Amino acid sequence: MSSNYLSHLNQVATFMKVPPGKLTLGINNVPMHSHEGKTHRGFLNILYSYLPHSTKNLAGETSEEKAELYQWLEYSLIYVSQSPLHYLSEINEFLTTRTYFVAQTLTIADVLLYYILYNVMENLTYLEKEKYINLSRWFDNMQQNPELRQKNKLVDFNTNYLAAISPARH
Amino acid sequence: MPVIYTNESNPAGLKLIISAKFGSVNYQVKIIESADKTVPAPRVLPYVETDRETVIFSSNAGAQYFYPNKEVDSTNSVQQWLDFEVYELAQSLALVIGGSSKVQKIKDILSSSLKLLNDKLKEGAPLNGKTIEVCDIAVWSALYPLHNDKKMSKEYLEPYPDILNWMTHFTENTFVKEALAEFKILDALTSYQALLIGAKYTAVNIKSSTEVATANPDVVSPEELKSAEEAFKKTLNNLPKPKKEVHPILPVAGEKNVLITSALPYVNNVPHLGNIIGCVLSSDVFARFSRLCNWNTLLIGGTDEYGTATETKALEEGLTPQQICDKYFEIHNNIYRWFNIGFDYFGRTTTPEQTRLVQDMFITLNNNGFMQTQPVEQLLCEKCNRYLADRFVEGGCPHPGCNYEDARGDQCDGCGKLVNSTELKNPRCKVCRTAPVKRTSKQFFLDLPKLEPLLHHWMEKSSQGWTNNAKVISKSWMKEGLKPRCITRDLKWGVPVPLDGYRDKVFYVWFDAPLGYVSMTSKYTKDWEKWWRPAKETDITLFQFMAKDNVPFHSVMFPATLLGANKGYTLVSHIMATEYLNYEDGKFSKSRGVGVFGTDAQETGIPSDVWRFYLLYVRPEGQDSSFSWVDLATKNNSELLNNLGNFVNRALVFTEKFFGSTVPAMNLTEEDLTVLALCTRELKSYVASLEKAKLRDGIRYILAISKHGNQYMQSTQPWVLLKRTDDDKQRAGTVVGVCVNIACLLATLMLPYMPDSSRALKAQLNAPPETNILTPDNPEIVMFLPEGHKIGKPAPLFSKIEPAQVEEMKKKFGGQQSDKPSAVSGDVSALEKAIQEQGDKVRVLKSSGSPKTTWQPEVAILLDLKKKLEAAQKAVPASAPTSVSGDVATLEKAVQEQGEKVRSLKSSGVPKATWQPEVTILLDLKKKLEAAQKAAPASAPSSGSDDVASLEKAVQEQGEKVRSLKSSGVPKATWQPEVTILLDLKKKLEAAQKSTVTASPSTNGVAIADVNEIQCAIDKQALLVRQLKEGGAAKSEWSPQVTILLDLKAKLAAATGQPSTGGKKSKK
Repeated sequence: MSSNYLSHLNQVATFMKVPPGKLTLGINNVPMHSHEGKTHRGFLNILYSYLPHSTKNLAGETSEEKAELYQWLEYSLIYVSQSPLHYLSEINEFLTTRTYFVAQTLTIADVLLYYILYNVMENLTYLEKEKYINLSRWFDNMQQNPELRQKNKLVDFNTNYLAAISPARH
Repeated sequence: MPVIYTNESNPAGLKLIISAKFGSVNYQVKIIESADKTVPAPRVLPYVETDRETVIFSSNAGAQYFYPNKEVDSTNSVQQWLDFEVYELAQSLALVIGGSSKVQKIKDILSSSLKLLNDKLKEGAPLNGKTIEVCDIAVWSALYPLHNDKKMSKEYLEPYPDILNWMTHFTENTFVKEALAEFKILDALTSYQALLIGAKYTAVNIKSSTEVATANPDVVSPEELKSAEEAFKKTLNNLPKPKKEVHPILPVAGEKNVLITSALPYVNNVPHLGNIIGCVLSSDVFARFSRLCNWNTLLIGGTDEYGTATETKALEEGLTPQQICDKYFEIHNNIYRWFNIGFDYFGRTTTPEQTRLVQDMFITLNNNGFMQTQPVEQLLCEKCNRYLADRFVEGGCPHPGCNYEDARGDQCDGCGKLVNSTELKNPRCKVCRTAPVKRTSKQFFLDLPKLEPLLHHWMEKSSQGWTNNAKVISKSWMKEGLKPRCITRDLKWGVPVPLDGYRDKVFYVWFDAPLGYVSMTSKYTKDWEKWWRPAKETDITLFQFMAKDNVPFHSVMFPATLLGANKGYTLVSHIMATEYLNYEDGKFSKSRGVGVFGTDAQETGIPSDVWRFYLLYVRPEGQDSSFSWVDLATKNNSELLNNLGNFVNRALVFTEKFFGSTVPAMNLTEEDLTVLALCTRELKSYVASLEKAKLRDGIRYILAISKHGNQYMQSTQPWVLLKRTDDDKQRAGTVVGVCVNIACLLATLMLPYMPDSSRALKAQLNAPPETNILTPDNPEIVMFLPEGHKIGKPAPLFSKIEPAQVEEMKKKFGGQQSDKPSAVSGDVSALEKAIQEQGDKVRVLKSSGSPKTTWQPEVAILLDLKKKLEAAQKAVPASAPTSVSGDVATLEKAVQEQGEKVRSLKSSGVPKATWQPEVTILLDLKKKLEAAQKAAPASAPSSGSDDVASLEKAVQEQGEKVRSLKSSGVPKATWQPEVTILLDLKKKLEAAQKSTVTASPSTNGVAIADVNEIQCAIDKQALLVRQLKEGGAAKSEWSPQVTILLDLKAKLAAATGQPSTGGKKSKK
């Protein structure tokens, strides 16, 4: 399974201003976390262990939102992070009517997906970015937050070039 | 009422129903097909639609929604088991049973998940130890179809009695019974197929563990551990013996034979660092590697000596061309010898062998019909009374679209295209600047169009092994279509054409120089044809190293010549071309005295190994790179000294001190095997990249191995273990033994790069010469130095390069501008104006979209002007220091603003060319600020002293941050910036301390007279620290002593006004 888990966890923790703790891969390549004597096993478990320590409110409000949040995290883990390219169109479709994945505010799901998708988005051509226009909009929105972006570069969503190809939409 | 949509017999659907019952939620179940069009994205089943029409498509999210977990314990065990269910259990069940996956890794995951669960249930149910929670429901539901299927249950669950018990017990629960009555679960196969189809798990999801291993820097797979263990059981006896060097070296049929050439430098240029790394040094490193692999290796190099330039130079110096060549040949030879370039033969083109070969080759080609004569217009400079060689004519580039004014007669530096000297616009003689006249004479042409099909066919096959730039350049040549190429000239200094009527002409470099490789080989051995015209059964691989400007010679001209001769000549299979090396972001220039030339390197006092290391570290592979003094010092101090040198020295010193210079017994544990496996991985990468002559990468793998070694030593702490029980002592012995063996491996790997240091280290290790061997087919780490091996006397391999030294070098080789500041100093305003004008010009050019080559020279002029201005400005403040000190605040503001600008430019993703000038301005400002600050503190010492405390605090905090980041194992990229901040803070602190001390010497009790005393104290303290550290004291013990030491050093620095030399001098 993807070894990027650990770096993604790290990035999320950094964004949340929470100590990431000691992160390793254990049996079945399940991420393990230990911090101040406490250990956590499992990717989502580790993410959820960060949440209460963060001053940011990223966990969703209602029980419905919490369930939605959980499902996107699980989805990121089980599906997207394995082969991000395969899920771009699905995510793009979902984002047609949304600004964020859960409710109307930034949650840890957006944060995690930003990190998981960064490498893919960075390498998309302008035409592909056009194809996944909703995803691109969401991603561009995410990356405007310097704390979230951390050391990542801004991915360019220049539309000048596209305007020449498909003027109607720009 | 929430609706649960699920396909039939899906255990995840069952999970939702049971959860809803536990949570006392009313619900409705709708059975649909997975292919149903109404399933919302991402089209997985089951999903829950809530009252507010929100879709929840994760069954665990839905289950928690129905039956939330109320209490969170310290390890959050409910969440942990939910993770377990979705990530390990359900996926592997669906794939192995539902998808009949035969992938062993997935089967392994299933069985280890079941074992994990069984171990947990042995301690008792439920999973969080208190109440039945959603995780119990999830895990149980996932397993229920398996448990319910008699045959499958026997096959999979029999070894796990605790799971079986728990499953049976759970089935008794009322809610579960009700759910099972409502929702039918069929046999295991059907159910897990339903799960698989519903969830759309794909086999991609579980990659094999080896893939993980290569991707993850710190995880080693069991296979890797196993092979590391097996390898370390072997000794030198299991390795092939290095071949004895027999001269002459000749190829052997059935073995790997490697012929290596280095582009022939032109004799009367003293080579600069760029020339050296481009061909000779690269070829040498590769040859040494090739010899390590026991391949029959011949490295040929030499100087190219014919041509007009030599003639001119001879006239200048009043010597014959041959005398000039002899003189410069010695210079070249000495430089390469100093750089430890181990040519098997270093020859020259002015030999009878060359004459014979070139003439023979010409006659062969002429007989084969690949020669033609054409009348050629040549440029004659009447003032100089001679025909002008291509390089001696300059004029406007004839290519449309390129308006470069100073194109040379053979090639335009503006657009890079080849030029015929007679086509230049407004040609002029380079020497006297008068316009030459055209004269016509008959010349020989190599008929490349006739050879093109042969060449094309060969290139298709051969170019696989070339560097990318070589491929691109050659392809563009072929694409434009080959034209006949003139190979003779009306000159005197060269190989004469052996045909009546043409005997007053000589061959041109295009034809003559590459054949030098062959003639030099023939000078080396009379059996040269074994290398260049091998027998059928002998395989010769020819590697040619050069900078990219030489590619057409080696990819078109030389192969075309050899192919046309049709005598079975060895053709190049690997053209290894580098890009250019710049000097401190500018070009090397002999005339302006900019840059380091071969002869200078020796005078710097820096050992040739360090030069070799750094040049290879920045080898321009893939793109241009630049040489920088500061970087050289940094790489030397951080990589060679603190990483590599530190590791091998510690390994040896421990062996000497604690084990009587004898390699101790080794009983390997998993920890030891892990470091060996990690090093093996680096070793494999090292071999793989060197085989492709990716020399720059190879050096990084060496450093990675010593980094692993350092970490290993740091985590095992043998010096601590030695003070404990006998078992611990034995453990320390193992660690030291492994480290010594890794050091021996490092010495071998260093051999191509740093031959002197490698030999020195081998001598310190007392390692037998048989250790100088690599097995490229299966690189592994064997026990090079077994228990009982006596090592020699350890000594530091590298020494520190001080910043002061760097500054001195920078000034020395930075060009001539600094020599005449007085002429410039008055001109600040004039220069500023010139800069502005030039800047405008550049901007206009850039924005007009003309190619880089057009505006690049203008930029160079601009930068030049700026440098002059800087020099001028520097001269001014000296006369008016007061004006500067007042400006600190303004400057700070300017720096900040400029910094903002640069950041925003960079982050906006514009190309480097756009923001580079802004960065230059920023750096400029910073320098000014620094200068101003240096002047300022004297007037405001009090503020400085206040700052010391706050800075100290900041340094401490930042230090904490860095340490925690590093220890958390995040990638370097993450903590590197923090380290930069830390170093910055430390610098500031140092500066602050300095200013405080100078401002109030009495309070610190340090007067200038005390310098000697401080120095004494420092020496004593340093000795104490070293003894503590090497004696194996815990960090907490020596750390305060180090603080005292650093304190003392700071005081000394303050007292002498010299910067502190830092704590880590090489361990002497």
